[in-house]
Amino acid sequence: MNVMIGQLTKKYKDHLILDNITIQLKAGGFYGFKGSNGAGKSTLFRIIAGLERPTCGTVTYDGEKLNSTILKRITYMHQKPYMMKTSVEENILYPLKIRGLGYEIYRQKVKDIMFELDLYKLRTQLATQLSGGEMQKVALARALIFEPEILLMDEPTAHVDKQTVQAIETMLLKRKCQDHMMTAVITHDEDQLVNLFEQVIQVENHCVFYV
Amino acid sequence: MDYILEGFQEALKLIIGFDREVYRIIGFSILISMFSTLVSIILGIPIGLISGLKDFHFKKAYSRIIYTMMGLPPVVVGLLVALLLSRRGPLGHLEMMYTPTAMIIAQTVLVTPIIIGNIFNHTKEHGKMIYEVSKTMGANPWQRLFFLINELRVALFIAMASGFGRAVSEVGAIMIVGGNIKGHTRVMTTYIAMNNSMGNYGSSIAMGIVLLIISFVLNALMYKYIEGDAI
Ligand SMILES: Nc1ncnc2c1ncn2[C@@H]1O[C@H](COP(=O)(O)OP(=O)(O)OP(=O)(O)O)[C@@H](O)[C@H]1O
Ligand SMILES: [Mg+2]
Repeated sequence: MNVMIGQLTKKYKDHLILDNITIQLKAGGFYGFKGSNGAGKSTLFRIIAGLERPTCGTVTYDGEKLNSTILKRITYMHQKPYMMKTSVEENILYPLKIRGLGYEIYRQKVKDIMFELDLYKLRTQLATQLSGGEMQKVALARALIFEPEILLMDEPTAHVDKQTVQAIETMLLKRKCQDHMMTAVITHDEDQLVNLFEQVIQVENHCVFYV
Repeated sequence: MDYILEGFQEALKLIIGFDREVYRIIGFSILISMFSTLVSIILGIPIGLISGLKDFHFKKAYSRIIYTMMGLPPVVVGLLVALLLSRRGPLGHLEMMYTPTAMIIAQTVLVTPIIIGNIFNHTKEHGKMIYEVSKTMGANPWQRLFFLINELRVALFIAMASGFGRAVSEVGAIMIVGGNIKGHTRVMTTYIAMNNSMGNYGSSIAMGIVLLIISFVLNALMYKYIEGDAI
């Protein structure tokens, strides 16, 4: 899905966050977002994900306004991952259940993704008791399991060790090639910004710049 | 001191001997309190969830009022309900004074704020995030609501258990609006108060023990629930 953000402004009460920004994010694109703390990166992602309304301006998805069908094809990973109070496996299964997709058919897929992210041995553990990095991985697995067309990740590698960062990066690159998923990632990691993304966008002073 | 020992002996006899009146009253108390808790849940869960999720003006003032209402003095609630229901009161024509219905109304007034307050508190803290997470995973509005309730289940259970605990152990309101009429509106707490003032310590102690057991079981259940499930 192509996302077109047109002359978008966001204010919280009188506090201006984003001022008349216009950007286009293409289907299959791989975007890195950077910017100082409080610049409005999360706010922008949350607007794209339909969690927040723009004060004015539009966001269109392949030319359409946000609706419930489109909403089901987007996912946003919060800066602090939220774990459901069940097992790791149940957490990953939830998006499939929501869509009424049978567990039996997807069992293998769930297994595969748990192996890929090294979560298999944790599958029966209570997700709320995992470490921060493990939660990030569960959140990623949960976000990828239903093959979204747009994946928005808010600092997914902030509290994650090198090895896990690598696992996540590999996973994202693979998905990008296979599924033509549009991925946008907020990160402060210069290394990633230089090497990983096709395009880096900076959010600063209420505006966006292509870097 | 003998009367205490004798009281305990008699109490055990009443409990172990399945004294009909005692058990009838226990059953009736639990029934009334369950009913009030149920009504309070039906009223309180939606109000607690919605007010916790939404941002609105005076949310702070609202929370103060709810928290105050969580500790309303039962006697005052009894008095207010009695004023409304008494023969000359605005709802006097319904003739509900000294009936189980009046007792349920009074208990509902006491318990609903407890349910709202507990749920409001948790929803205010975690509700928005939970709601959003389900949205980002593709849940429709009904699925989001169900998800929210499921994720807040510990808080809901605690709210229910403390609401029921309050209802079953309270005496001031129920005495005023129920009147402790034998076979009609007599419950455990009013039974204790009455027998105590008549010097029937055995009966009071018996009922006191049962009330304690109920509290204990409720707390044990709550604790077990919380333990197996991080909040
Ligand atoms: N719900 C809200 N109400 C009021 N102000 C908000 C709200 N959400 C965010 N803000 C403000 O908007 C600004 C941008 O926040 P945002 O979370 O988008 O920043 P960010 O670029 O993601 O920063 P970080 O790198 O620290 O995550 C901040 O000043 C924040 O205080
Ligand atoms: Mg942020």
